[in-house]
Amino acid sequence: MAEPSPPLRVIGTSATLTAGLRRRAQTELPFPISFEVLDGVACQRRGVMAPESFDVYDQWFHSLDLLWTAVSIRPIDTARIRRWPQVRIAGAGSHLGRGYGTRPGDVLFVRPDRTLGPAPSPDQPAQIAMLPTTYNMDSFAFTPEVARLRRKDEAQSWAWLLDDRWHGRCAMAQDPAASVVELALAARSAGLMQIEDPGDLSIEEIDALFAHLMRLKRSGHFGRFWASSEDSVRVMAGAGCALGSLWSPAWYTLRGMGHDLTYATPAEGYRGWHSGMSISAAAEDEALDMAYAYLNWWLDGTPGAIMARQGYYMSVVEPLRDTLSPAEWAWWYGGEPATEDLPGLDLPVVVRKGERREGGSYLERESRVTAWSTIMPEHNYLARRWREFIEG
Amino acid sequence: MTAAPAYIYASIRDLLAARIGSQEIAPGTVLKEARISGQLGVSRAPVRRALALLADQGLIRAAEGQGYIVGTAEAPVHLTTRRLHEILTARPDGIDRSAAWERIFERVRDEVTACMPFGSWRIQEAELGDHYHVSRTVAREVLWRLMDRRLIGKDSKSHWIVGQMTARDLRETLELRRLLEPQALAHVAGALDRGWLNRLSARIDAAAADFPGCGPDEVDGIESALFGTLYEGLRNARMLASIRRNQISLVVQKMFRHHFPMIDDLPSLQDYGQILHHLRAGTGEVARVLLTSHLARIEPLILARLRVLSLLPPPRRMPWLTPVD
Repeated sequence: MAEPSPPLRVIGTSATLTAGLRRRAQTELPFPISFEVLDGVACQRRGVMAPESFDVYDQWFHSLDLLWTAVSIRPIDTARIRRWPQVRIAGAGSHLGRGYGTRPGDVLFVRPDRTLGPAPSPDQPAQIAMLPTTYNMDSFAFTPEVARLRRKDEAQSWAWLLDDRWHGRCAMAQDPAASVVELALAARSAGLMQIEDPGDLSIEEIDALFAHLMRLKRSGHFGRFWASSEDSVRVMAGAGCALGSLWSPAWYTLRGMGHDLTYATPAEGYRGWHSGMSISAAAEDEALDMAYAYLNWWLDGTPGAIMARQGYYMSVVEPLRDTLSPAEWAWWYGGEPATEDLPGLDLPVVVRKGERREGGSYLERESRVTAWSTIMPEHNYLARRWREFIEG
Repeated sequence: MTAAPAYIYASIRDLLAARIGSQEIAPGTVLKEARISGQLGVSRAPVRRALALLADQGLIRAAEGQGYIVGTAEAPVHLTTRRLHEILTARPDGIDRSAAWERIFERVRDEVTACMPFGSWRIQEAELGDHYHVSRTVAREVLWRLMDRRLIGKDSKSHWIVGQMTARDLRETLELRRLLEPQALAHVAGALDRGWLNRLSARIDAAAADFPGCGPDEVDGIESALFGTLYEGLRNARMLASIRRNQISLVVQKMFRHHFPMIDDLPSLQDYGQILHHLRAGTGEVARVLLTSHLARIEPLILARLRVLSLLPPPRRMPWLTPVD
């Protein structure tokens, strides 16, 4: 009798590898899959250090350059991606400003000299380093108390992260790739310092930013630093928190639980991020075939609908017309008022009839990205200062 | 390879003990301090100490009159000077006649550079000396020489500091390399040793042909031969010193190759091969252009490799290094 084939090994974070998604993958694909759900930074480290320990890596475009440089992943042949002609990577539209940080489309294609770039090489079939999947635009959530303390006509701003009107009650994410960009936007908007490019801080800017942040931390301004989406729900649901950086799955969970919070539309713009999937450099033969089948399944509509119900967008939208109800499509993607109560991932109602998503449609929200999550050129220096900041 | 002992007397003791053990120096042989020091080209003090240690071990005994006799044999055997010379120098003797600081410099340099991506560190001079069994004076000498290469510095309290390597350090030193090294190449190109050029060129071609089978050590060796030796003939000592101080990017490449696949080093080997080709052909201007474009091309790769290196677990902590906040 033939040996049962080893499973496809997928590593990623809880942002995309939700319980529902894992279940559907196991039932809809004809081979076993073993999922390993890791914290963001741990996942990135595994991706770089141990390519033989996974077949598919599911994480962010801003960690792509680390994996590619470390030769942990192999080029993806777009000819093997059925819906490749339908894939649209966020941030690529010409109506957008450039945005600070790692613009996902800038590192998509593999060029003949093994560098990554924004366009395919004209004389060979297009190869990519990461298949674009989900993306979103993030900001922060705030309580009615913050809304009351807000001055008349005061625009929502990243500067609120550093505002002492809610001293001691601000929560931030532990991952510097998102948080440092947000805090740099905040320090600049609050007038604390000049910053030329919040996605590429110089050594002096890092020192100056952390001088402000350490002062605020010592005075007790920052309440908690959360490690995962689940953790952020606990933090924001606590009485001690007035305002916090938050991802959309946590936001909709809190909404579904009945918390009265507002998701901000900062005047400066959103922080965008893009997820994708890469194939391990060590994957061969059957594992490689399964990896391509898994990547193709991700673009087929089922995962996109699951991602939509926690607020994430997909790089391929066409099949979502079949997997989302018209009311869901109109609310999640269209930015139109909800015509009925809508379910979330694990909760029966996360959107109530008549509500409207902050920021509008997916294209409107995308056009308001001011910075993309990023691992900055001075990452080594920044990471050390960041550790001192959150642990100190 | 095991490292040579840091002390010269220890190397001499080991050499003599080995020759006695193999009976090349037979029982009864008379060993005299002055003749051994003359044959080995070292001063008498370390030979005297080595002989005393061998006597403590019981391998030799003090002879009446002068010198020592090997083993317990009664009849003394006198070696001719020529025979003694053959025995002591027939094979590479492993005796390092360099100054004490030189014997530990490379190891200290490698340990200092290995921790650079992971933070800033203070070097404890006395602990460094203890760790390598050298005096504090020797430890200080090593540190001054590392400072001369800009690998370490001194803070306001005059502590020795290894600063964290930043993207800016790499960008700035690469900018200087692009200014200095092609110019240096123009100065030395006409006077380079043909034999050296031919050997290095063949070595590079062999490594490229066998890539990546040649292994990271071979690529390290090529880079250090190329960028370490190429400019040695410069008459402008200031320029040579500046070049030495700005080659930190080579450290990133070397560290990366020893932890990750080196696929992206093949184009560099090919660049080196082309540069050597033009130096051998007498078309030095082309070699200069190629060197300039090589140094420009590798900058994004080196910056990306530095970010990757920061994900490695920090190297084993040396007792003479303490982290600085």
